[in-house]
Amino acid sequence: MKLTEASLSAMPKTDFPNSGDQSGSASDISGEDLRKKGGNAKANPMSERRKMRKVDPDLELVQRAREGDTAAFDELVVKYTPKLYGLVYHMTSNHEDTNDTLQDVFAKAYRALKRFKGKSAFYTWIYSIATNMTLNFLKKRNRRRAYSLDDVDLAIERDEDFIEATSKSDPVREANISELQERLNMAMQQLSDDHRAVVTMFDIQGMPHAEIAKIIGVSEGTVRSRLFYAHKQLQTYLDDFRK
Amino acid sequence: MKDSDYVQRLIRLKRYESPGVEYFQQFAEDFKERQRAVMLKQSSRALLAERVSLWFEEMGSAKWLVPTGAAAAVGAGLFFAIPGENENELPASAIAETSTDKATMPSFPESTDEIFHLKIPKAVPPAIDKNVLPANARGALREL
Repeated sequence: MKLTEASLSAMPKTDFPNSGDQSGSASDISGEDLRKKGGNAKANPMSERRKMRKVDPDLELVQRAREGDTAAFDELVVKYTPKLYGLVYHMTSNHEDTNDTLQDVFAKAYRALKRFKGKSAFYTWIYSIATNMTLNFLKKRNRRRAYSLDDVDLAIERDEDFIEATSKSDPVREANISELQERLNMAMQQLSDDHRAVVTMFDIQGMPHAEIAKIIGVSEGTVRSRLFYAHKQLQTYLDDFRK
Repeated sequence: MKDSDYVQRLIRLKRYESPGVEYFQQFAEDFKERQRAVMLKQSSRALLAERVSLWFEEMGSAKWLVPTGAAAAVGAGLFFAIPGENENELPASAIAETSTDKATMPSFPESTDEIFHLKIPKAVPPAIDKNVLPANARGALREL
């Protein structure tokens, strides 16, 4: 059974206020919220905003999980599986590899939970684990491994980008959805693992440059330059769609 | 529209690739089962270690006998297992003794003929003194 639009909207959104597709979360504090809290809000709104931004929405669950509450960790698994699945899947283009790698990611995160010091958000931390483990997996994997692609949700037919692409470009309009999916995956697999990672996080998952930089442990400038290069490469591979 | 923007919009369509809600529910269940199996394995090892340590504690002062006995057994095994310098030769003192005692040693048959023709001495009944009568015969002889 595929995702419906209702289930898509029910999926957890990222906590990145700068991304265009996702709504903000704990870090998105409006002036009205600050006025409601009163106190020093007017006197020092920036420091209040900074303090609120630093509060990890998963703090309570993480604390309970560290104390041995497996149900709390199960809640974190349920919450982050869709996003982490997307990260690993778009990097591997293989459903089975994604399933196995993701199981290992959560197992490793559970074992390493006591070493998590809360300097970053839990989401950033587990995203780093997932990215590093996927990159390590890809280094060991045979490059000729066949694709194992997930189904495409039919909601794509109502997507603006899809509508625009099919209305303007003959090749895209003529290719059916599965052919388009295969071409996009082939183009992604032509990129190096590092370039594919930044394209997945920025273009597909809508993460801001700063967060990507924190996750993969490089500067924002490096993220931007990798994206620039990757987009140039993708233009070459998808050139026939640009007619 | 710029080429790069067009390509980014196409790539963004990949977010519609998804395994479905049921997959994610099953994934969470599979992960729980896997974690339970890992914890069970760890707890059985921990249980074994705990039982062994409890057994040692209950032995009290006798607990030192186990490692001592084990060390003694290993030592004895090594002593007998490791061969000496000249295994097949007797020491010189033993050789000297055997040569002087040769004359008093019984002579054993040296060939098979001698073994088969061994003469077994015939049993000789003890000589009976005529003047000595058996105890139960005295009365009867007196009567004679």
